Amino acid sequence: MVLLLTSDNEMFSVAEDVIKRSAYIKNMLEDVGESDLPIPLPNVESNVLVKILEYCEHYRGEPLPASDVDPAEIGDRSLDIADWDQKYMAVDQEMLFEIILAANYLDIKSLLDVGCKTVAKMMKGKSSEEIRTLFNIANDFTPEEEAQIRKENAWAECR
Amino acid sequence: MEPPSIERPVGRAERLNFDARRGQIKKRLLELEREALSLKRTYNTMAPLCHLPIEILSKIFVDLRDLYMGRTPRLWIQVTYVCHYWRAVATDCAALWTNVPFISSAFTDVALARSKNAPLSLFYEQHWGRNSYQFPSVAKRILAHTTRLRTIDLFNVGLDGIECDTAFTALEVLRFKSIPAMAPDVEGRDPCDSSEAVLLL
Repeated sequence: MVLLLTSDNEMFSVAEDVIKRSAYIKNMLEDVGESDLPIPLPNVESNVLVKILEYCEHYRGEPLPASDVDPAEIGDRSLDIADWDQKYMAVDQEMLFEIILAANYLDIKSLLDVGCKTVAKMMKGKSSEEIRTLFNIANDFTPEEEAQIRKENAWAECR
Repeated sequence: MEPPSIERPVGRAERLNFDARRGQIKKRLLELEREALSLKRTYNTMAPLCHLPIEILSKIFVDLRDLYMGRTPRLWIQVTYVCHYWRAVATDCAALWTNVPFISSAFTDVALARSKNAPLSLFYEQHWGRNSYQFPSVAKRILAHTTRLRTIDLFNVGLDGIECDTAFTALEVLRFKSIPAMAPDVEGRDPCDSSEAVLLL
């Protein structure tokens, strides 16, 4: 078992084959070897770690994805999200972004990928104004930027 | 009940006074606009999505673009119109601009500049009767970047009359696709079938 200590000082005891989906923890275990000391996770709160462990538990035993993907290849990836992943990601925005941040910190590529696709799908079909409303963002453009944007929009539309 | 008094500027001295006051108001309005802009930008730094690291936000933008693969950039380019921060992230993300339909000369210039030196995929589709034929001007611009062209996908256009002296050192795939005329041809082939030629290099 591996001990994990969250930023709000909660201790979790997790099976090694579950948490090894995190490349960060996997590398740490390989570097440090067996230890009774907990691994501190200063960037992850307990409620988020619970969600992360739910994901790792679900995919327990499945092969780990290949390591780094060339960013230039990103466009070739499938954008489908598995049914279970869609249900897993049906959380409020705050938790969704916390999951993405934790997946990034813990280096769980498949979870990070699903998180990013989920946010992209939330934006699909929406205008910039609708995206602002969705994510509670203010229009903070200068008049000069607005003018440039109007021009670019016309270029992007001309077919 | 007394009627409301209406002050009218009369005389040169009063006009000068009004001009000065209007100047002060204009200056104050500009200050307020600047302050409002600064407050909006601070407000946006507190939006949860803006807390994501730049590389993650960029990845989300690329995913959104890929959801519209092959369709007009107008659908995903909205991310550059949301706020100042998103625009800065999106315009600086070379990967976002390397695999886009180059639909017009102006858009091609923007996309090529923003793709920096990243490997490029050229996608051009000619919709007969719907858009003007811009391929020669688009091709001219793209062919200045042959050393980073990785794939070329051409729909309903050929390379007739397009000249290029430089080598395509990075080219991996050259694909032509065309849709025949709507009427069956002389050999009775189905007009709905499209023809495709793929050259893997």
